[in-house]
Amino acid sequence: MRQSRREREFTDFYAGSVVTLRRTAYVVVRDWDLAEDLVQQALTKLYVAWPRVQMPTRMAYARRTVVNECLSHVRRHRPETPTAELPDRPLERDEAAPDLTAALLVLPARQRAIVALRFLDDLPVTEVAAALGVAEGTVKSQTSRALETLRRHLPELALTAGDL
Amino acid sequence: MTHDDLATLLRDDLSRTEPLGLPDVAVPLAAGRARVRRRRAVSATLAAGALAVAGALAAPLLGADHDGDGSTGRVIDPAERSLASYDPQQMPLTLEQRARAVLERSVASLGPGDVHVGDGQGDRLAPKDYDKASGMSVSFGSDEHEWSVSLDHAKSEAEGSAREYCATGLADGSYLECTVDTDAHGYVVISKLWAMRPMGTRPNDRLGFMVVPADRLDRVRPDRLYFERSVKVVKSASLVTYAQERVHAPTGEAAEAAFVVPVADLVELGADPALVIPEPPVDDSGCGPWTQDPGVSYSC
Repeated sequence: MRQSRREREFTDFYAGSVVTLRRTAYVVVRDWDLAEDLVQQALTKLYVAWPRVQMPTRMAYARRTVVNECLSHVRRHRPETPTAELPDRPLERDEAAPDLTAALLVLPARQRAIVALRFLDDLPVTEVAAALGVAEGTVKSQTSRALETLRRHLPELALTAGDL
Repeated sequence: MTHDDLATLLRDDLSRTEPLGLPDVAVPLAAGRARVRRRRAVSATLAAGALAVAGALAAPLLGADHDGDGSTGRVIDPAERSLASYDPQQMPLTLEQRARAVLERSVASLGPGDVHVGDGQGDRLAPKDYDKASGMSVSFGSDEHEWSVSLDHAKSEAEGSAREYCATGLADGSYLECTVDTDAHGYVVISKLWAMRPMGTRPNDRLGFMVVPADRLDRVRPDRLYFERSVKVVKSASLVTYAQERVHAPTGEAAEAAFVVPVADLVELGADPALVIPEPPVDDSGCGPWTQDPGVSYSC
């Protein structure tokens, strides 16, 4: 079937961004299948908005929509209880490696989103704030709290605010 | 531990469990196309001033395609009479009662019905706003076995050729079965069977369902599969009724054995001329159906 310009551009954008977006979503919802579903929902919204979203801002728009979908999902499914449930896939974890998965589960969803955007997507505070629709000060304070929690659960990591 | 160290640790953590395959671009493309079509249809409807309730219930747009042109022509619609005496406060009760009367022929203990009256975004409305509803539904049962009837004003779901609708869904594997008929009132009736799975993987973490195409049934764990028998009846240019039965079953064969409501009863419910709602008012932008959320706006 012949594709329209919108579909061609969207398909190209999708191929280049979907893995990154799925990783971001996964850090928030901690379930690969759910992350994929939420990314697909978010990218459906991007497809609809495509003519209105300028090329330089498409990734930011997509990221913001993905994070919003994830946080909305978590909100709708409260209480979010950190659990020790088995992961979806068997892990072959290096027992010597820090258990970041368990530590991340302890963080509230919004802090996981901040960790994903700051440390996985490597975004500056200003862009994280824009993606989440919060003040830069909130990003900084939430980052600090997230790191405190990670430090408590991962004592082998000497995380300091100064380092970060 | 530096910023880079934490970033590396995070990436290592993800790489241990990250699925290898790429999510399918066909999913957002198909859903996005449908939404764009729907928005255009809503805009076109409003621009044409096709807001008169009785007029909107006069001519089905989604034709059974008897002659290939996608139109069955105008029918005298018994639902017009129901609209003439429409009571927005009474309709949810009517919907629950009429659905119960038909379903209880086959289901011994149907249990309480959950009635939902929604705005243009599907958000639940308070009774004072029922007169502005875009949709209304009632569901019985549980996630394991559920029956539901819904009334929705959605022009994109009412327009077009029903035979093409089935042919497209069968071709891309979305539907396992799909047939088209026309009932005694002249309504177009589409009966289909499809498979689905809950979003995500965690139990009791339901956001909704995703369709499982026929060629991917073997990629989903059998205990996560659901099958739905759905009867869609097109009552007007925009009003569509769905009567559905969904079961949690590992295979299509097991689902067929688990379905208890005859398709004829679902058709009877879907085509019930007493089950109608008027077309919703337009929102402040003039471009879409009314919604209670002031943050939602449509573009024409």
